[in-house]
Amino acid sequence: MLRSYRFTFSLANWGVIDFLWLSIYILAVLAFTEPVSYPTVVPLLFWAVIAWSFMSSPVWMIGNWMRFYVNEGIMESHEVSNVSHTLFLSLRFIPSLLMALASAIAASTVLVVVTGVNPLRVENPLLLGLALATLLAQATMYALILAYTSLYIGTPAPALDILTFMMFVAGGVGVPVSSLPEPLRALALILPYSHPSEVMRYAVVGLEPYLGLRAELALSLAYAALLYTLLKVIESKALRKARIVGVKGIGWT
Amino acid sequence: MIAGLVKAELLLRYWWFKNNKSFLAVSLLWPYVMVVTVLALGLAYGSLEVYKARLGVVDPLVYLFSASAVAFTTVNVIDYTVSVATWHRWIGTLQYVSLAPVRLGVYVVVSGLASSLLSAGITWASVAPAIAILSGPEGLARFAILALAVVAGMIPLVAIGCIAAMATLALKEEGNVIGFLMPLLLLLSGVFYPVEVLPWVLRLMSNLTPSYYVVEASKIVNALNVEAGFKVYLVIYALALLAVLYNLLGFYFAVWAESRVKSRGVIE
Repeated sequence: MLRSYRFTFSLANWGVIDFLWLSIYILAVLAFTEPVSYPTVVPLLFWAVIAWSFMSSPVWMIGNWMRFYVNEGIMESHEVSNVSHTLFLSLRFIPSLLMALASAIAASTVLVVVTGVNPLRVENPLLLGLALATLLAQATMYALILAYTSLYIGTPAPALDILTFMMFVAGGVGVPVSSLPEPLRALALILPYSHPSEVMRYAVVGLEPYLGLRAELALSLAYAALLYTLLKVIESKALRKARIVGVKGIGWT
Repeated sequence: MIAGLVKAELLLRYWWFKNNKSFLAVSLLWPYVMVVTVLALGLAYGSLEVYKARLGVVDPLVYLFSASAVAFTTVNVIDYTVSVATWHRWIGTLQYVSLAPVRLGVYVVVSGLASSLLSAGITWASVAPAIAILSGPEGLARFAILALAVVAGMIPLVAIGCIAAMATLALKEEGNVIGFLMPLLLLLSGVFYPVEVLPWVLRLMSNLTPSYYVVEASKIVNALNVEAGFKVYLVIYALALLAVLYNLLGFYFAVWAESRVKSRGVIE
């Protein structure tokens, strides 16, 4: 709380930046659509962009922060105090989530003014919450995997992150799986984020999930479990290496 | 002295890019990422024909590449100018820079402008092959004309960047708290959509935004005809007017902010 108070201007700036980027993307895509299709397109598009915010923020907040965590000596002090690095790093999703929610509300206001459609009016809010929570959990674990991989091989996490953008555009997050061309559709089904995104679209406008609601829900949770297992393996390898060579001996490139 | 500053800044950026090749690769890919995202989502929820009609452009693909390149490189000048001040504060050299013979405001402007021009060169080198493939040598020639619009757009924007940089120093926070300016200017520029869709207050603000005129120039060059020639003059006059207005404002604000920062001390 004290840190948040100290950085009031920075936090407000961050929220405004998020809101502005959301608005730019949404207005850009709306320029491709006829106003008659706004009632369906606006909510779908709005929540797709929110999903992007949920999947990309942890990569920046956790993955990108790993180098700072090491360089500033925070990791060493946590190491000797027996603080869990994973718990500490993963809690960084809280401010990013709050900012994403605040900017989403602001962007929805702009959408109501511009299109007359309220994107916050959804068919199943509970299911939407579950879909977004699963997406956020998957994204946080993916960001932690990136952070530990970057620690293990000494390369900054953003340079390793080649999947987030691809998953949004071609992996069934920004665009429904059924609308993707055939080779991309198969790829989207292999990737984790497409499943909670299909559930999200069902919750927002009732768009039938590609593999059915139950299968998509089950796959969303199964992928979360798989990512957690992978995280534990990489965490153990990265920390073992850091303890042998020393945290500052990683040698970032 | 200013030529020396420009040379030093260009050399600094050159070596920085040389030592950070992954960042250079990201810079080269960034325009494609933006265009592909907008196109993929746009085509999933609508059509290119609607987009063409809404924006009044002849070739929407060429427009998307050229407009996003010119808008981003123009607006980047603000980000680079503001980050000069925060960067020196972070690395602990702000006090030395503020004691140098050149005024702090002048240094911030020169540094931001030099970095922006180098960054613009990289973005343009990245986008040029796509434009050459999509519309041939003629399209490439039109794109080259836009370079003038970008430089003209940078002149008033660098003044806004200088005001923002000095304000960042005055606000005392560690981060770039004026970072929202860049996406705000992009929102007001109407790079990917017509500004007519914005609420009236934002439309009014668009008319005071230099990058809006640079994007308008992209649309005019995309649909180059006799009527367009007259519109180009209007864009140039608007940019010249804004350049005078913002630079006057920027000069007085920079002088005031520098004396305030120095009287309070740059290290807190």
